[in-house]
Amino acid sequence: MVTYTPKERLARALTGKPVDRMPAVSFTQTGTVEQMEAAGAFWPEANDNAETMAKLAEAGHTVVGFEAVRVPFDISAEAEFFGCDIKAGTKEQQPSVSSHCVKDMSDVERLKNFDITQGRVATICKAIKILADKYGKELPIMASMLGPFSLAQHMNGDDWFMAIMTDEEFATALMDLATEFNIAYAKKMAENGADTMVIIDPTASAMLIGDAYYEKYVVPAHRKIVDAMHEMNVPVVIHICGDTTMSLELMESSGVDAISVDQSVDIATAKSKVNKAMIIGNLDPVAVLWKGTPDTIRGVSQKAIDAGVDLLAPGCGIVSKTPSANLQAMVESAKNRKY
Amino acid sequence: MEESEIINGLTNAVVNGKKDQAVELANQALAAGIEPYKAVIEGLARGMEIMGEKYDCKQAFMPHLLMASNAMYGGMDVLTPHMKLEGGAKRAVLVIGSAEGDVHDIGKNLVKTMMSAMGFEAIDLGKDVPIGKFTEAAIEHKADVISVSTLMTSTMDNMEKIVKSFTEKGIRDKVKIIVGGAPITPDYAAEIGADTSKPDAMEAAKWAKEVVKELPDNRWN
Repeated sequence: MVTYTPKERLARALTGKPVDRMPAVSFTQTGTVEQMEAAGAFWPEANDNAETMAKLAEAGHTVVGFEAVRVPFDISAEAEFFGCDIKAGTKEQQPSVSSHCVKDMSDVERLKNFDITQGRVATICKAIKILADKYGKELPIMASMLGPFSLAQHMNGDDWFMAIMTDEEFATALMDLATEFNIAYAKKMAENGADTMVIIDPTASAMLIGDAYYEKYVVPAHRKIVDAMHEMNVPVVIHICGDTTMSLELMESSGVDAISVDQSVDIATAKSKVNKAMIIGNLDPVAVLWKGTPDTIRGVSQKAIDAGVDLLAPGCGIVSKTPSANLQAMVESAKNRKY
Repeated sequence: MEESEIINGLTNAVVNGKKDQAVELANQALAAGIEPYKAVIEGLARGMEIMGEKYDCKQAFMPHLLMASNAMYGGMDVLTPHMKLEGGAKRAVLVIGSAEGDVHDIGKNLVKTMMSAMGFEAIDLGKDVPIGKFTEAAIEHKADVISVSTLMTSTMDNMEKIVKSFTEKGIRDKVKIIVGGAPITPDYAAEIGADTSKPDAMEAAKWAKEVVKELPDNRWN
């Protein structure tokens, strides 16, 4: 029987090639308090310091048993990079964006000449390098970033939802800026050793903005990022929360390799909607992974596997207080899925 | 213009997200001597209700809702100062905010809009609201409904603390508490002692409108 390294197995599974068994990974954030304590690497420091970040990412593998290492743990470095204020995180809570930095076209112009080697995005690249040097031969080195539509919303605030309707020139310019940043940042992460890219673009949910705006603003932006990553041989996963069932075809049309869905999506239905994209998901991070028990988690995992999920994973970011034993039950369920 | 024309115009201005039009018609309503409360409820709020229904059946999305909401508030800013509240005809009071630690407020704003459309006077505490602010505002404004949102799992504990703070102050039975946000389920609401959680802003507002009827009028005296 052919066996693969976790790195080969995930790369194959994400691109639809046959594998011996299901990889056991999380495409959404992995940091938990138990891992922080085991590794001696805590939030918020692990969000700002490359060594600590790498240490906590590593705990996802050494403590929980995920067959990958993944950074970062939050989705605010991108907006922070452009000058949005950040509410600092704590040991249990990720930092989040608290103010906006783009009002109009002049702000877009002002921000156009960005330098990707600055700020926390550079720290994250450094953490990727540390992880790739240590694990890059064996394990997938997974990187995530906030997607362009959500980044534009972080930059512009809730006015963004109206701008896409009332001010096409501005909306297009801000989307272009966010997309260019995403491409440059994703390339930098890949150059530092990331071999799997997760775009997290929750605000782009077609549930929130409707298919028409998704097709107009989100698909072309995602396509550009996907093309840039595919040129570097890096598969791309898109994660959007909420009930995305009716928009899966549209989401796939950007060329992503896999779509990560949350617990409100029925896996079997999702599978029937896509052409060749892998479906990832969809254990409820709160009710199942955090509040559940290893037994209930094995049950829910089996259900998702029976429904045909391609990669068993949390439906959204893991809650920091989730017990390792619960995550291990999911890992074990994935590993037991042999082909 | 006929009264019904102005009222329908207000509804249409909201549905089409035309703030200028809503403001202009609100002024016309005042000039024509239309009862401001009627212009708000039968005109502006009706428009928001229509948008809520359209949102439910995926004919309208967040951009349309926000445009409508803007138009509604534009009209309300003109009309509300002229609303006469006679005798016991006090509007029901909503105290609303995002839990401490959570800086997200778009969901909270939608709930506020829908509840305002249902006739509530909204006291908006904003986002990342310190736990004690909710009871403080409830007492000050003699609140009927408390609405707490969080988008983040890490702030769910603060939601529980907010509900507990009402019990600690001895005013839990004076208010109805609704909690909501992506990670929140009705089970969780029950677990922390809140009255309910609803899947969206429209449902939340419908619930609130009904449930205030259960509250005795003189409980804050």
